[in-house]
Amino acid sequence: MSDRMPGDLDGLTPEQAAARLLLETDEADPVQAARLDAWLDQDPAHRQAWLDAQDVWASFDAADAHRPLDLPRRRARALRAGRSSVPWMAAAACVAAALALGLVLTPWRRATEAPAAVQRVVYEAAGQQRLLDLPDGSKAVLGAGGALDLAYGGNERRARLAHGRAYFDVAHDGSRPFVVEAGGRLITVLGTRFDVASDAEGLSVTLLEGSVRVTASGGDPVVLRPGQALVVAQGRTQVRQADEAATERWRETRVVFDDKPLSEVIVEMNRYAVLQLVIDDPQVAALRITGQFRVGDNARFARGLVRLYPLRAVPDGPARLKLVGVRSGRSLSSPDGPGAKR
Amino acid sequence: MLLAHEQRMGEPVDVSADGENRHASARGGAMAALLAKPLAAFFRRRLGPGNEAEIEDLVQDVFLRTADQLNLAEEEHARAYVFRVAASVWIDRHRRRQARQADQHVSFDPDRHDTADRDLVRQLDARETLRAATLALADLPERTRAIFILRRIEGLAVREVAARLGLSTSAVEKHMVRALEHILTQTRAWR
Repeated sequence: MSDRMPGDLDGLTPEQAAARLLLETDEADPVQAARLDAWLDQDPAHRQAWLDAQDVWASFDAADAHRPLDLPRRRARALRAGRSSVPWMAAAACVAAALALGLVLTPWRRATEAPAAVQRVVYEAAGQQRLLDLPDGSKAVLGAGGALDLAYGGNERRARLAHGRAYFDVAHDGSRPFVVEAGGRLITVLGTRFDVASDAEGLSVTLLEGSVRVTASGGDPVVLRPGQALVVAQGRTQVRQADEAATERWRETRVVFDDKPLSEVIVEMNRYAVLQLVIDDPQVAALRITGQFRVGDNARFARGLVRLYPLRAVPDGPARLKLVGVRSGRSLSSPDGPGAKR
Repeated sequence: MLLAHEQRMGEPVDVSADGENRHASARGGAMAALLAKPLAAFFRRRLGPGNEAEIEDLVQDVFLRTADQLNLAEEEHARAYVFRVAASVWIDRHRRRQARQADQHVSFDPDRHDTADRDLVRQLDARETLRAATLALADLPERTRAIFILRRIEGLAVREVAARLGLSTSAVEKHMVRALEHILTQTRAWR
C-alpha cells in the first residue's frame, strides 16, 4: 500500500485531483503525505477542493438517517456478480459471497473440527456479577447467572456466552482475534469494548468502542460502529442506535474516591480495564483525587484528567498510557517547542 | 466525570529528566514521538496553520483513543491504525462544531488563510451536503453507484466489493474514483 501513489494529476480539475488524492493517499505514509502537501500548497483552489472533498466524504456518515439513500442502498446490497439470471450466475454469486464471507466464517468451521484449544476456562457467576481477568489480559464482567466458556487457541481466542449477559474489554492481539459466540452469532473483534446479552428471546450486541463484526451462519456480516447495537428479536435482526446508559446499568460501573492520591486511584481503575495507566513521576502520583468515576474506560478517565490537571497522556507500550507532567507532553505535537530538544 | 477537589501543582514537571523509564516505556515514548509530528501535520492540513493549541489537543485525543489498541511491536500496523483514529477524531470534532454552530467563529481566519469562501462551505449543514451528494450519486451508472455505496456507506473493503461483484480490486478502485469525481464536480456546481 505504501509504495502506491496516486496517478498523474496534471490536466485534472481540482475536484478530480481531490477525489484521487482522497481515495488513494495514505497520509500515514510520509512520502505520500509530502506529495499531498505539495499539491495543496500549489494553489488555494486545490486546498479548497480537497477540504470540500473531505466534507462530502464525511457527509455519508449520516447516511442511515437519509431516506433518499434507502432504495439505492438496498439495490447496491442486492447486486451480485453478473446481472443475468442464468443458473451459473447464481453459483458465481454464491462463490463471490463465500469469498466475501470466507474470513469470518472460518471460525465456524474450525469450531466443528477438533479444536486445538490450548487453554479452556469456564466462568460462572452464580449469585452476583463477577469481574473476570481473562488469561490474555482482557477484562470481562459476567452478569449474575451467566456462564462464559473460554477456549483460547493459537489462532483465536474464543468465548462462548451460553446464556446471560457480559461486557468485554478485549486486549489487542492482531494475530488472535477474539470471537464471542452468542445467540447463534459470532462476534469477531481485534480489540474493543462491547456488551452482549443473550437469552431465549434473542440477542443484543452493543459496541462501545472499536469495531466488531457480527456473523450469522449463512448471513451477511454486519459491522457495528461505536454507539450502535445489533438486536435480534423474534427472528428479526436490526441495527439501531444503542442506549449506552441502559447498556451500562446492569454492571458495576462507578467507583468513588475521597481525597486519594492518583497513584492509588489508577491501581483501582486499572483493575477494570485492559488499558493500564502508569505514572513514573512522584509529583503526578501525589495528585489528590476526589470524585465518582466510571470504570472500564481508562481512556475516558485520562481524558478527564488531562482537562483538569497539567497532565498529558502518552502511549507507553502496548495498552499502556503514561500520565506525565505537562511540559514533557507538550513536546509531542509542537516539535519546535522547548521540550523537543532532548 | 467529577473532580471535586483540584490540587494545584507547582511548576510543571519534566519527566523525561528523571530517566527511570522502563524498556517498554522507552519504546512507547519513541513511537509516540515518531507519530506526533505526522499526526500534527494531518490536523494542520485540515485546520490550517496558526491553530497549534487545538492541533495539540487533537493529537492528544488520538493518543488517548489509540492507547489500548496500539501494538508498538508492529510499527506499520500501529501507524495505519493511529491515522484511522485521527480521521475519526477529525470527523467527531467536525460534528461537535456543527452541532454548536460555532465553526465560523473559531476555525478559520479568512484573511490569514486567503480562502474566504471556505467559511461559506463550512457553514453548509452536513445534511445539505449529503442531499446534494445523493442527487449526484443518482446520475451515475448503477454499478458505479452500487460500488460507491457498498464501499463508503456499507463499509465493505475494496476486496470484499470486488469479490461480491466479480471484479478486480483495481476495477473497484477505478469506479470509486469515477464516482467521487462526479459527486465532487456536481456538488461544486451546486454550491
